[in-house]
Order: sequence, then C-alpha cells, then structure tokens
Amino acid sequence: MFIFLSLPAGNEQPHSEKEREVLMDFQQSLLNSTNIISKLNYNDGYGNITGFQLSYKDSEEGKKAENWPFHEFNDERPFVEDEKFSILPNYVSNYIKNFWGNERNTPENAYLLNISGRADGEFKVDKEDKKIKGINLELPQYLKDYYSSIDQNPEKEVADKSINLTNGLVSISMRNRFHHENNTIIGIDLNLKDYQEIENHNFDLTGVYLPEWGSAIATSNSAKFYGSYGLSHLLMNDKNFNHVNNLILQWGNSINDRDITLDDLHSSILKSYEQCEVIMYIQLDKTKYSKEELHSIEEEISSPQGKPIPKQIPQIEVSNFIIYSPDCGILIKKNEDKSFVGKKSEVLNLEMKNVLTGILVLVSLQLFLIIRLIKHSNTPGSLSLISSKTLFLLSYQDMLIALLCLLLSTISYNLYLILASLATIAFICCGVFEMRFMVSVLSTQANERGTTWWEILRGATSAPPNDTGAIIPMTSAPEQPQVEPDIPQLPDSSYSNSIFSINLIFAIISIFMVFSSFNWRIKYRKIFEYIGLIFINSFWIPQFFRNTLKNRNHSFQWEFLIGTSLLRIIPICYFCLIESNPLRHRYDPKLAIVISTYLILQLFLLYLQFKLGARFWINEKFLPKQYDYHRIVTKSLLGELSINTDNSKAFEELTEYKTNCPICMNDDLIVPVWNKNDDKQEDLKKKLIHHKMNYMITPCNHLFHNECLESWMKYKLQCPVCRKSLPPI
Amino acid sequence: MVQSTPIRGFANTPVTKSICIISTITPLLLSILSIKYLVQLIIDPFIIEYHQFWRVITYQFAVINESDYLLIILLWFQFKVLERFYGSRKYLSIVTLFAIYNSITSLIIMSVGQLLVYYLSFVIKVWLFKYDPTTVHYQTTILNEIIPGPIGILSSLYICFGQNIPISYYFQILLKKPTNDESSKVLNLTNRFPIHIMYTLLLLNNGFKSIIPSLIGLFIGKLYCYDLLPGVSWLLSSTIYHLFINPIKKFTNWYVFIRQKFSNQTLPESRASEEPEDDLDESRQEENRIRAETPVRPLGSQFLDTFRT
Repeated sequence: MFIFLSLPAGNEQPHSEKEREVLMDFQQSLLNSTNIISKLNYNDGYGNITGFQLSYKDSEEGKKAENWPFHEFNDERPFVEDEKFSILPNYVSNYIKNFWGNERNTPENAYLLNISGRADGEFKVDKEDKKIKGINLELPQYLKDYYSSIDQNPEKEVADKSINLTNGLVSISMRNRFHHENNTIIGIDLNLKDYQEIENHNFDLTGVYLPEWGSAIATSNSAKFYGSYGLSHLLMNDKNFNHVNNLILQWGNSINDRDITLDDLHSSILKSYEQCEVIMYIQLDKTKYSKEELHSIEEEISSPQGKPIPKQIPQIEVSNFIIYSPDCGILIKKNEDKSFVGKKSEVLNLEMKNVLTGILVLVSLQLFLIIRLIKHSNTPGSLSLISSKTLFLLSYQDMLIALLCLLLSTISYNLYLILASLATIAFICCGVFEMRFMVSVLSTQANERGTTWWEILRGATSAPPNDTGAIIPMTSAPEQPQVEPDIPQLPDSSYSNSIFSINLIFAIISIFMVFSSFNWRIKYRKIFEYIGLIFINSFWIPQFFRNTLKNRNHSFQWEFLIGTSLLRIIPICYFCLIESNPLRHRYDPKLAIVISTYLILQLFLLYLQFKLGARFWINEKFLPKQYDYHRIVTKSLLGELSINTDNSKAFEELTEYKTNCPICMNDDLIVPVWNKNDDKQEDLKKKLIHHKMNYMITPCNHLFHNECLESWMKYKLQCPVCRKSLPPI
Repeated sequence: MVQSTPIRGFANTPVTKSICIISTITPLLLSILSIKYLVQLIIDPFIIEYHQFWRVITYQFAVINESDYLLIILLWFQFKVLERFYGSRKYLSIVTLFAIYNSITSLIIMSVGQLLVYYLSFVIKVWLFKYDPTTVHYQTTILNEIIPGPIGILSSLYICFGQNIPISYYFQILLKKPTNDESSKVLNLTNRFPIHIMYTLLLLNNGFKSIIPSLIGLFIGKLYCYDLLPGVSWLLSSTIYHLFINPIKKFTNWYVFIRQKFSNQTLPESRASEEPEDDLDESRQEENRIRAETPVRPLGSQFLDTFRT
C-alpha cells in the first residue's frame, strides 16, 4: 500500500521558478516547431527544428548547430534528398529509395488499412556503417544547464548508449494514435536484442503510416531531436509531403503543447542522454484482398457482428525495413533470410481471449474437482491422511492465477471481463474452497502438533506432558477432574488467516519475480522457469510422504489426483509446444516433457503406494512399531484395565473376560485372557486368533468392539471414554 | 421466507430448474466471452445476405440484457406450476415444440412481412404520391429485428397458464373509502396479477422488438390450446429428457453401463431406478390424454373434428 501511495502522481507541478522557466521554454520550443512546419514547403528544407539543423555533410565538416542556417532554399534551389542538405547520408537514402514507398496499391491487392499489431523478425547491422559517422546532436544549452543542476551526481558517466549488436531479433508493436484522411499517426515500440537477450534496446517511436503506399516511417523523439517535426521531410520526395505535414499538424492541434509536464521534460532529456535517436522505414507487402474486403475484415474483427469473413485474416508482413540512427551513426537492415511477420492486434486479442477461455474452463474444472473432493473426504479419518502441504501448493498456484488475472484485468481494456471472471473463479477455488479444506485438514491434524514424525510413523501420539504432571506433587487442586490433555485446538479463523496471508505473500512475491523475469536474459529466464515450474508442480510429493507416515495407501480420490495433474499440465504443454501461442513463449518441448514426466512420476509413486502399500520403499526394519490395537490380554493387562481383581481365586481361573462395550452397550464383548501359567496354551492361541479381530484396546486401556471403535474413529480420533487422542489404525 | 409460488423452490420441477440454470449461465457466458452477436436474429443482413439460418435456432437460447433476464427468470419460475400440471417430460416437450413453432413462424413473418411492407410502401409511394420508382429503395422495417430470448415460448406458455391453471383466490383493493350512498371503487385482483404485470412488462420491454415475438407466441399458444397445432402429442425422447434434467447423473449412468458392459456383467441396476419415473410420467400422460379426451372440447376442435374423422 505504501508503495502505491508514494509513487509519483505523474503530473508533478514545477516546484521552483527555474523549473517553471525551463518548462515554459521547452513548451515554447515545441510550439515554435509546430509553427515552423505549418509554413513549410518541401522545397524549404527542415527549417529550424531541434536536431535537424545540421545536415550529414555539415556535421562531417564540423559545423555548429548554433550557426544555423547554412543553406538557402528557394524554388530555384530546392531542398532535395542529398547528404548536403539532409540528415541522411546518401548511402542510406539510396538504400531507402530502393524499397520504400515505390508501389501504389492496386485494386485487387491493397495494403493493410490499419497496422496496429505486432511483428517479429531478425536484423543485421550493415557492414558499411563504419563509413557512416554520427551527426553530433547537441542538447540545447538551457536544457543542458538545467540537467546539470538537477542531476545529483554529475560526475557519473552517462550510461553507454551505443548499440553494440551485429545481429539479433527485432520486434515492433504498433498502435494507432490519430487518424486523418486515410493516413494514420502510429506509435511504434521498437525492441532490438541479440539472440541471448543480453543487450536489449527499447525505443518509443512516433510515425506515419501511408496505406496508399504500404509504407511507414517513424522516428524517436527527445529533447535534442524533435523527430516528429521532421517526418514530412524524411519522405524522400515531395509526393506525399502535404498529406503528412497536414496530418502532423492536425495531430499537433489535437494535443496541447501546454500539456507537456515536467515529467515529460525530464524523460525527454534523459532519453537524449541515454538513447540513440532512430529513424525507421518500414515497407509492407501487399495483401491478397482488395481495399473493400480489407475494410469489411477490419470492421468485423474490431467489433464482431457475425459477418462472414475469410478464414485467413491478413497478417502484417514487412517486406523490408531499415533503422538508421543519425547520432550513433548505425544502420540496421533486415535479415533477408528470415521473414518478418506478425499479427494484427485484434487477432492477437482474439487469440489471447481463446487462451483465457481455455484457462477459465480449466479453473472451473478444478473448482468442480475440489468441491467433489471436499464432499468425499469429510470425516476426520480421511482428513488426517491428506497432506496440508499438497493443498498449500495447489492453492498457491490458484492464488497466483487469481492475482495475475486481477492485476492484468486492471490494465487490459479488451480482456477485462474474461480476466475478471477468471480471477473470481480462481479466487473462489483457492480462497474459499481450498482454504476451507486446508483449515479442516489442519484442525484434524492438530493433535500431531509437537510430536515428531517418528511418533506419527509409529502411529501413536506421544503422551502429552500434562499427563505426567500428576507425579509431581502439586499442592493446589489435586482432585480436579482429569481434564483431557487439551489438544491445542486453535480457533479455525486463526488458521485460515495465517494460511491465507502466507499464501498471499508468497503469491505476491512470485508475481514480482515473474514480472521481473521477463527482462532477464534468456538463459536465466530458462533456469527460472525450470526451477519455478518444478517447484510448484511437486504437489504430490508431500502427499507421498504423508501416506508413508500414516501408512495409508489411499488418501485423495484417483479422480482428483489424475484430474488435477492433467489440469496443471495442459497449460504448460500448450505454451511450450504450440509455437504460435499468444504469450509468445518459445517452443520448448524439453520443458513440457520434463514437467509432464515429473508429474507422471509422482502419480506413479502414489500408484505404487496404492498397490504395494504405503511404506513399500522403506525397509520394515527401519520402521518403528505401530501401535497394536489387538493386544493379547494378559492378567497384568487386565489389572491395568481397572477390573476388579479382588476376587483372586476367580481371577486366577479366568480364561475369558466378559464385559460390555461402551459404544454399543451390549455386554457380549468376550475377551480371552492369556494365562501365562496355563498349560493349554495351544488351545488358547487358537482361541486368540479366533477372537483377535473381535475387540480393540486403546492405548489408554479401554476395550471396545472392533466395529464399534472403527466406525467411531472415522469421525474422531479420540477415545470415547476418556477423550485421549488415539493413533489412527 | 415468503413463498411467492404455490410450489416451494424447485420441488419436483426439474425441467424448470434446468431452464433457470441454463438461462442464467448462458447470458453470463455470452457476455464474458463477448459473443452476444451469436444470438441476434436480424433478417437483413444476417439471413438475407449471409444466409446464417442457424440464428433461427440460437436466438431463443439467451437474453442479452439485464431487465429481460430478470423478467424471463421470474416468469419461468411462475410457470413451474405448468410443469406440475403437464408432467416434466411433457412440459419439456411442449417447450421444445413452442420453441420450434415460434422460431419458424417468426422467421416467416419477419422476412415475408418485411417484403410485403416494402412492396406496399413502394406501391403507395409510386401510385399515390407519384414518386420516381428508381428513387424508392429497399429499406429495413420494424420487422427486421427481434430481441433474443425465449419471449415467444413464454408467451405461448402464458396462454396455457391462463387456460389450465385455476385461480386460487380473488382479492379486492379499495380505492376509496366506502360511503353509504354509492358503491365504493374497488380493484378486483386475482392471485395471477403478478404474472400479468411481469408478462406485460416483458411484452413492452423492447418496443417492437419484443412485441412482435410476443404476439407470435400468444398466437401459437392460442392455437395449441384449441388443439389446432400439429404434433401436440409428440414426446421428447427419454434420453434427451434425462440428459436435460440431470446431465451428470446421465453421464455417470452411461459410464457405469459401459464399464459393466466391458466387465461382462448383467444389466446395470441403475437403469431400474429410472424406470418408475418413466412409468409415472407416462401414466400421468395417459391420465392427461383421457382427461383431454373426455370433458372439454372447445369450439375450434369441435369444428375441426368434423373434418378429421
């Protein structure tokens, strides 16, 4: 909560007079730039726009931006795309002229009307770039002064901003910002990284898309390079100049320059220090549809009505692109061997929706399974077998899903409903049912608190320390009714609170880990994935040990075991094996196989326990002896059973002891007594075997019918007479 | 809790229960997955241009707004008396029958009606007002779209309800303090008045989009009550009926059945438990048939019977 409160609000007001002044200057310079381009023709050149004062040649000759202008343009000597006037060197502009904006769309094959979406490909840095030098772009003096005044540690070296890649992966995600007369202002998030994802560069570009030509151009913006204002002159020629200039002006009018805040100013100064400026040219391939068809496809996928559209929705296919950085002097070209394609954002949305629907179904099935499990195991006997750690891991996974969906639903507009319902169902699953179940499991197993697992293995609970208290001479209240040695019965609420909070904290920490892992290099991310997935999918392991402890071979229903494992494997397999998954998880069959085998192995272990007995993997010798309810009754034991032994004569001859069972109150409970001195031992032994299953003696020496006590122990593991806790059978 | 209907909860009305559950889950799913457009019936362009005739089936499955949802759930809940009256399986059969008749009739009336309206307007415009024939274009009319939801079915059931379920009690609300000289003004009401109010609301809830299917539904209900509707005695197959009222039990039965078949054992016992229910239903239906045969023969059926022989 504190973190959220202390976050900056985003529209910070300037604090000091100086800040206000600098901000005003910055706003004014943007306004001036707007005014400049509103009066410009193509022939007039860039005008006095920050970042565009020096042409490539000027910079090579070492001119200074303050001395602008260097060239006079008029209709006789117009601005042409040449390194003498332009910021692009001839090598770059010639390359651009080859592929960019040369082909108009035809009636049968039009270019995409709307290129919001995301595309991925590979790039390589042009070898010629050694010849290209960067233009020395300088931050205006007032901003330089301002920056050195606010920078806390000015001696700190500015981070190395240059791009040291030779080849790698490029991805662009485009969205529409403003639309006017067919042409669109687009925003591009450009990401360049090498194959190992060690070096990672993100750029925020603004540009123009011309559907008539299927070409887009975008530039970065910072305090030393007002890229957007030079866009119309970067078009290579004047045939689209008026459209684009108009578009930029319209867009500029729709956003108020006075809305520029101090934060924007800071970020654009930082950008100019830390990032290379880039200019990007993108040329798309033609689709196989006509303009009208594209229009109706566009309409249908953005707001579905049930209109029949072709199965193949056109993709974003980049035929060629180039990224040139004027200040870093680097030229990045498309890797021609690899295709550069991507999906439109509506299609991505739809795919995401389908995946989420699938997860929704899985979570609902999980909820259904949990409810059935809870209905099935409602007796203390069955609850005491279930491992709370298994349940904790399961509910931790569900909590993770719930929290992730809740978080994403706040930022995703299109998928809000489905994410919210997914979060709700996952939360009901973990927060209501699994928690409740875990609380009942824990409160059933409360008598195991403070005992070692060795004791549990033996099956008996250790005598609680209160018991021995009677030996110590106590002066006060010696005759108090023997209150049963209290099982520390905590109220359920304290359990649920602690479980819930631990679960929640774990989930929140993991969410932070998951989000930060997206930025890690691929090797670390892989390791994180393996460890994380193996950890959260080892939920049957605690149950395996629990079974061993309790010596029971059947705890969960098989329906729940297999169902839950399947439900947890399916998404992992989907994201690892289907390459076109919308989360863009890499194709990784190894991970899928490892996790599936791991889960199947766990299930197989449980199956072995089911078939061979819970302790099949431990040698009998290492096991402690379990409490035997069918002890042979000897004379001395009878004495402990608090039977009147006064009549010694009758007692001596006793071979059978008859009493009544405290549960059914029938007095047909006949216990054969083994007399050590008896000669007819063999006879008695037969009798014993015959009788053995008929009675049970608790550790607290109470006698019951076999069936009576067993049926009682399904409900409570307490002696019905003295309420001492009983070891389970 | 106040009991608003003569039957407590969903006691012995499994079909109504299933219908209410389905009518709740389906709109939720449609809304969550944002596929509401799947249940819209619009003649132009969906039927005429795209030939999406499956919409004729889907449009009665779900409502797509909250007030409609509330009204249809309340009406289904009230009409569970009809399920007791007919018997569950017969009731489901009647509902299915109404659904089929309503969708077919609606489709015909909407598409043909729209054409007729267009021709009429064309004739009037060209002959009476001397329009230039080339300027008159095909336009969609109020018959083009109806609201999704089981409005037609409920209208038909509303007629059946009025026909078959007797009034339990009357009551009066005094509107004015009675005086000696003149009879006081009273409002005579029966226990059915909430149904009338809810139905009227449903009828008017979406303007013409709900009035058209309601009128069609009322008409079909009337036909049914006069025995003029073919296929009245049709019964839904028992498998579908059981699948509808308790799919989990049905699947479990199948599962048990298949398992026993594989393990080569004798007939499953679970089948036996289903039998009496069927018998009950069939005997009830037989009773109904006898009852229907003997006493009341409305004018329409008498008239028609002379031609039937």
